[in-house]
Amino acid sequence: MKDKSSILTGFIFACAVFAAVIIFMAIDNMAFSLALILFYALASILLVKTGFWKKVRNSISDNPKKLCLLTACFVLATPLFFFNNPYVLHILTLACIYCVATIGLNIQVGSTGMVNFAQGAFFGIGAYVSALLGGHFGVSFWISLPAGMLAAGFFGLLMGLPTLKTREYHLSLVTIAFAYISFLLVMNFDWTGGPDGIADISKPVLFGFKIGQTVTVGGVTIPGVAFYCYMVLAFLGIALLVAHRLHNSWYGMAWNAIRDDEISSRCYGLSLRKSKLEAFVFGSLFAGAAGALYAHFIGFMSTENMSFQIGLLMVCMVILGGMDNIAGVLVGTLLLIVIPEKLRAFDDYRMLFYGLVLISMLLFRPQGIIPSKPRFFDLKKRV
Amino acid sequence: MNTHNIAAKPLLQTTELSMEFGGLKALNSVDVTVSEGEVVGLIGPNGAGKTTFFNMLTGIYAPSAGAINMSGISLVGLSPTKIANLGVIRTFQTCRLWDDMSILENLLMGTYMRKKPGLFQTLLQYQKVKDDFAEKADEALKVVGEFDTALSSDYDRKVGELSLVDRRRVEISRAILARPRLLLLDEPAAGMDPSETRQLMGDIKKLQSAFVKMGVVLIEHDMTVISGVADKVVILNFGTKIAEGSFVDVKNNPEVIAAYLGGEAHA
Repeated sequence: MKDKSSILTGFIFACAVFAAVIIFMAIDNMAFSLALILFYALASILLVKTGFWKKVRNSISDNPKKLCLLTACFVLATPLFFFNNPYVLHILTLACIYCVATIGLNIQVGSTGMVNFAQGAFFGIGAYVSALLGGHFGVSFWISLPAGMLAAGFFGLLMGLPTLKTREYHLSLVTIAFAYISFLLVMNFDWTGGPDGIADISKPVLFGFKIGQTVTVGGVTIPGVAFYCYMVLAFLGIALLVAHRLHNSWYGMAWNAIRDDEISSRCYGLSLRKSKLEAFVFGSLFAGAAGALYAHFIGFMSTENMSFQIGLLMVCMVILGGMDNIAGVLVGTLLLIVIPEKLRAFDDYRMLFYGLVLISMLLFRPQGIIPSKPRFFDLKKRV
Repeated sequence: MNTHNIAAKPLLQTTELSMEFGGLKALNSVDVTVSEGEVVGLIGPNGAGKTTFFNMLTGIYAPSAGAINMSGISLVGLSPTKIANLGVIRTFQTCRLWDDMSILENLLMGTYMRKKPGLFQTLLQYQKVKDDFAEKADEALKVVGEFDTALSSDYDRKVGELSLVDRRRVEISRAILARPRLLLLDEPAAGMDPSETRQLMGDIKKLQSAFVKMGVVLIEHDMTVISGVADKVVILNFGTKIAEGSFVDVKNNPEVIAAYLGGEAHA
């Protein structure tokens, strides 16, 4: 019987991270931001070296429910700090939208070991379908979003079929080809708006309330983006729950088995075709939802936002955060969205920054910031 | 042992099974019959075609010629997935476990073909998934605990970190959890010391008495294992079956001696 570690370690850690995030987001000065990034990086390394990080992880895995609840409270509280700073809310919302797409990508890249560079294309398919349905036919967001998801899922299935015969690099090549084909098609069709994209995408309306309009309650002005931020958080919550359950189920186990050894997987009755296609479809559904959220958030969608670069960026996020670990993927995504926004002056070097991050991760910590852990099964009695 | 059980039904039957790689005949017209409850030892020098034989039975290779019949169903042309679902389960000479997964995860995947919660339960009735895992995990740890209690108490270690012997134990346990009708063991005692080998023999015998209808084919170089557990021995040399019978019979067969010691057969 292992001793349960105290909840206190996890509690302190969560509070510290919360404070760190709020401070970082609130700072406007670039030099100061840079200094903070370095400080946080050093602190994280120290955390790992001193062994405190292990205690934190044990504390989290022994008290998952309470600490998840605490984290959820912190996440819900975060936008409250920035009602006077819509720009920060905008970044946070964007980061959360990307999180939905990357936890879907993680099913393919992390769990199944299929490095898919086309997640940007599925993101775009979801965005375009939802935006076009809303724009041309006046379909409500609450119907066009699932439609975008289904369209992305369908194309995920289509792309999955030719990849079944391939593995590793060859599979990635197929996904790159798909990313470029869909990008070029959307660019050259007339009905997608071509290179001009689609403008004036409507905001979702819930019970007569337009999500995204500014509201003043008792002298406090709540920016519209705050409402959208909370809506995205709700979607992210659902996405996390689904991803968590898929991961800790026979689906996730089968994906991992295929990643580790295809031949022995088949000799134990797994159907590679079925499992891989499931991974592609589930991953694309997430991307489609993220795309629809994005299109209605920004109000504008063009091919630039579904290019190969977007897919590449999403793969970077998964690798940085930790493959096959949902929490890790969230961290990776937040870092790669927020840090470049904070260092706007170096915007020209953005791609260089992504490349550097990826190479240094693969060199120094290939398992990612938060590596995956064996699944925890509710054993009737621990032996 | 089941040598007295003459009326046992045949489980697996290969007729004139052949495999050619380019011009090389890896297996040439091999007839093998495995009955229910029987342990067949498959021996022969390196390169005799033993593992090739397993690869054909499990659908990894499609035979160039010949037939494989598993209680009335032809296995030729079926995928490994289908064959596994018919109850043919194997272990691998080089231990193909899922290295980045834990001991328990590997064992649980052995039960993958059993009834399990589907997508609806996974997304909307998650408690059922948890219960299912808990129940199967208990069984899995019991099976692996028979080999070594260290494996069942350290169940969340990654199998990639385990020693060779422990990996074999996990692999055999995983195979048992798949509830095979025909179990194919590829050199299970390789890398084990004599006491571990004895333990393995005991375990195979235990399996036999626990699953009386299960057929076993065992590739092994360690003759103490073969003589200890095999009801029947089949000897391959250069892809051809050169002898078949009880261990005592084949031990004195001059062709067999020649195959192992080299040189011409005197018979």
